[in-house]
Parts: sequence; C-alpha cells; structure tokens
Amino acid sequence: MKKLIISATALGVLAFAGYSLSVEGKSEEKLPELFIPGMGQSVANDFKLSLESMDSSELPEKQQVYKFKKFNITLEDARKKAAQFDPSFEKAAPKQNAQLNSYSFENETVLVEIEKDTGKMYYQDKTYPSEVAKNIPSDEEAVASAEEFLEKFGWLPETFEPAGVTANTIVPGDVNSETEAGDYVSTKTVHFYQKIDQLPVLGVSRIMVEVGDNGQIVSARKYHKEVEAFTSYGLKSVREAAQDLQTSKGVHNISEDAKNVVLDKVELAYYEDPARLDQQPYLQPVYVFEGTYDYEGKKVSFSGVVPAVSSGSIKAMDADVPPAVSYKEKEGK
Amino acid sequence: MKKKIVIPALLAVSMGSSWATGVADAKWTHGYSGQSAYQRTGSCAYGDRAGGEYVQALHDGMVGNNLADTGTVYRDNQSWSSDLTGSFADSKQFFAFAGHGLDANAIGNGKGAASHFYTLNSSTQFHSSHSDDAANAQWDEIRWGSNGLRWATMYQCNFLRNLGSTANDTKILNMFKGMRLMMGFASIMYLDSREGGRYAARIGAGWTLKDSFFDAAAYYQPALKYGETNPTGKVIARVVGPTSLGGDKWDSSTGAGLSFNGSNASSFTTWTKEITINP
Repeated sequence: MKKLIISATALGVLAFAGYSLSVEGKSEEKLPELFIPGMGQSVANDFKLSLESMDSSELPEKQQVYKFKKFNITLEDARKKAAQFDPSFEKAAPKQNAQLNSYSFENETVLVEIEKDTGKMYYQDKTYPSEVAKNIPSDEEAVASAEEFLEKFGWLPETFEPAGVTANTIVPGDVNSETEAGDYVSTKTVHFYQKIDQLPVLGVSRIMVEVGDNGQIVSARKYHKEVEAFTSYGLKSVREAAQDLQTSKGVHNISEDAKNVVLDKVELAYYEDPARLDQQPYLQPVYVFEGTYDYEGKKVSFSGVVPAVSSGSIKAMDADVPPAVSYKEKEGK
Repeated sequence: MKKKIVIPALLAVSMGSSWATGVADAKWTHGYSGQSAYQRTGSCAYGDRAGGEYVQALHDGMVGNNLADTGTVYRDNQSWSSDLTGSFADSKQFFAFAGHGLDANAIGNGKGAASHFYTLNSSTQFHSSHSDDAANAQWDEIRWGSNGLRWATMYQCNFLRNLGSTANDTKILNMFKGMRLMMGFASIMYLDSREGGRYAARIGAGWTLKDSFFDAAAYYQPALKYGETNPTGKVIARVVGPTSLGGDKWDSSTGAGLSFNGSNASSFTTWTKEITINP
C-alpha cells in the first residue's frame, strides 16, 4: 500500500511537471524560420547603413504571433460552400486535387475550388469572354461590385479593406503594350489587404476580385489564411534587424552602387507566407524599414522587410534536399 | 544570400501518379535551365535566388501531372546562357528559365532584356562582370520555335517589360519563330520555388497555360510595403503570343505558332495582369 501511495504521488508530480512544461513550452516553442523570397533583379548586396536618424523608441519588445487555423473541410462542408455559387454543387462529386489539397467543383459556367486545410477559395465565372471590355467600371464602381460580391458570400472579414484597383489588359501586338495599355482593359482587379492589431499584413494575405464589363464578377481569389491568437514572442533589436537587412536576410529595393544608405523609419507589420500549414503554421511579425540612399546624384527612397522575432526563438529551415533528377552532362556543347 | 528552401523534389517523385488527379495526359518534351548559386558559387553580387529550385519544382510538377516524362534540368554550374541561345531550349516543346533578370537598358548593348547567368557557358568558368556576353541571354540572341519550342516560361524579373518602348515590343516579338506563348513578368518579381509546383498543377488540371501562370503568381508573389521608387515592389505578370493561341492548354496542338515577320504584329497579343500592389 505504501509503495502504491509513493508511486501515485510520483506519478502526480511527474504529471504536474509535464503539464507545467507543456504550458511553459507554448512560449518556448520555436517558430519555423519565416521565408521571404528574394527579388529576381539586382539589388545592393553589400552596403553600409546609418541608423543614427532613425527613431525606434515606440517599438515593443514583444509582439503577438498568430497561428493559422486548420479547417479540415469535409466533402459535405465543401459542397455547402460551393452550392452558394451554384445550387447544383450541393450534390456534386468534385475533383480532388492531391497536390493542391483541394476540392474543385466545376460545370460549364462556374468553377469553385476550396482548399481542405486552409479554407482558401477560388471562384470563376467561366462564361466571361477573354476580350477587351466595352463598358469597364470605374475604380470606385469596381470596388463597390467587389465588396457586394464578397459580403454576399461571407468572404470579407472586417480586417480587410480595399487597397487598390489595377487594370488587366489585352493589348494587340502592334500597339505599345505599356504606354497605350489603358485603352485595352479587359477586367479590373480589386485588391483587398488586411490589418491585424492595426498592423498591415504583407506577403500573400489578400483577396483579389476581378471585375469585368458592367461590373460582372469574373473571378475571386480568397488566398489568405485565417488566424487565431497564439502567444507573444520577443523581438530582435532594431540594430540586429538592420544587420539582417545588410546581410540580405530580408528583402529590400536598394539599388546596386547605392551610397550613404540611411534608415529613417522602422515599423512593425505581419507577413503571411503561402506555405502549407505544416511548413509555416504561424503569422509572424516583420520589421519594415524605410530610408534613403544616394544614387547617380539623386536621393532615392527605399524600403526593406526583415523577420522580427528574436533569432533565439526561430528554428532554421531544413537544408536543401538534393534534386531528384540528376544533371545530364552537357556533352558536345 | 542563401535562401534555404525545402524542395519537394524527392517527395514529388515518390508521390508520382498520386498527383495525377487532373485531366492532363500530354507527353511534351521539356527542358529547364535555372540558377540559384549566383553568389555562393559564382561570386555574383546579385545574390543567390531560388532559380534552380523553381525549375526543379516545375519539372517535377510537369512529370507528376502527366504532362511530360522525365526531362532535362540544368541547374547552377550546368545552367548556361547557351541553353537559351543555342539549340537546347528550342529542341524542347516546353522550356523554362529561372534566375535573375536584367531589364532592356541594364546591359546597355542594345540587345535587350536578359536572363542572367554566373556561368560563362562552362561549368567551371564564371563571370567577372555582369555584362559579360556569355553571362546573359538577351532578346536579340533568342529565336524560338523553328525547331520545336512551343511554350517558354521566363521566371525572372523584367523579361517581358518594354520600358515604354515600341521598339522593345518588336524585339520581344522577334523571338517568336514558331513559339506559341511566352510567360514572364513586366516588373520585378520574387523567386519562390513553390510557385513552379502550382503552375504545373494548374496546367495539369486543364487550365490554360496563361491562366495557370497568372494564378500561380497570384498565390505566391508577395506584396511588400515598398514606396513608389523603382522597383516599386509591384509584380506584373505578362504573357505574349499569337492572339489565337491565348487559350493554349495541355491538349492544344504542338504545331508551330505564328512566326513574327515584322509586319504581322497585329496578329499577336500581350496579356497583362497586375498581381500585387503596395498594401
């Protein structure tokens, strides 16, 4: 009996210790390294920075990190969502794409695609012709049409706002494809981006609605993931982040041969990576730097984005996996 | 700069036919040239990018989606400008380059925009200057289609940007010697290897090549808080080709498209979508 009591007590202590560790572990959990792709154009790769004129006194030492929600959307759930756009999808057998992890409902007029884990969705009106529009709406009208569509289908969270409208063009080959493109608008895209905790969310956290002739909705992409609060993480110092900018651990648009690079301003934002949930489960904060540099006798402004969570709380990405296909020798070249 | 990326190459091959949930059953010939190790191997100040990983992911996606059998992927030291200017690209029906891109004014020799390489048509000799001729494949050196190339994808900055010049539009069309469509960007863009997998998946699911390319960009190209300086950070995707071939998809004819002859420009079209803005 005595042994039993001792054993039970020991188990209790171990269980409590384990519980404590798991609770503590939440804040200690290392986050996957945030991947921000590099620009396919030359940018400065070796430059000196001045931080003297930058005020970073209002930046917090910690910042909330969010976790992306995992939905596990079932076939029945998907059918209900798709049926919003076409009632016939209520009983349809969608194609399931293993690579995109999605259900795809399609008939002659409508395509609706739903990602199982993230709930990302794509809608397309397949009847819209690929040609220059006769009565393209104004930007304001395009925004109104887009908002009406998104609200109707519950795709417009309060955190999102229209951030701009751009023209999609179909330009004949004997016309300048850039300077005269405005005369050949086929559709307009209304871009919606969101703010979380009053901070802009960069990366791919967006909704794009394509609006065509007379305000017709041509397509809609709900390509952002939904989030829930996780926990706060300590941030790296601004000086460390600036060093990261110098060593290209983030991205910037500082030209080659830039001189006298001066950082004037730094703010926090969030960055959404389009990775699968198992690869990057978290919405992480980033520093957004703004500044100026001298280039060919002119003062030029620039921006840069660097992951903000303290390096000690980040686990590095796995090493590159070797290519599966071996190189073929270039004999005879 | 080394961007470490987990490339699903082995996974892709191991999944094999489980990807094949779409409709495609094409067997295109395909080839790829992509560079990543600009700095770490070639000491190129432009910095490392995920070009090699992108073309590998695109290749694996093409195979996995029943669009092609195993093809040739030249990466890093094996990736040369002559892949584009010589016979390699034009010997395949589907070809892609991924890496750094220079706009039409960058080199200053009048030959147009370039795909940039740190190699000098050699796996052991690397460039000493960005403007070395052998380190760049430029518009005026590329003529595709007379020997088989039908669809080209240029996953780099600026390859389809005319900088406001009609003469540059003509230089772009001059590359069409039977090629059906060229996919690319008219702006800066960001190299994310995962985009290659989605591009292939869309083609495999029966989407047009044009819309597949646009959709992959919409899914992966990031919006960054850049100002209105150049580059602005905005990503503009563009497709060029004969007007009648804009709907090309996996089961389209592999016959030659229209060859540009200097007087048939009106039979070609430039399709453009602005993918990102500065939020």
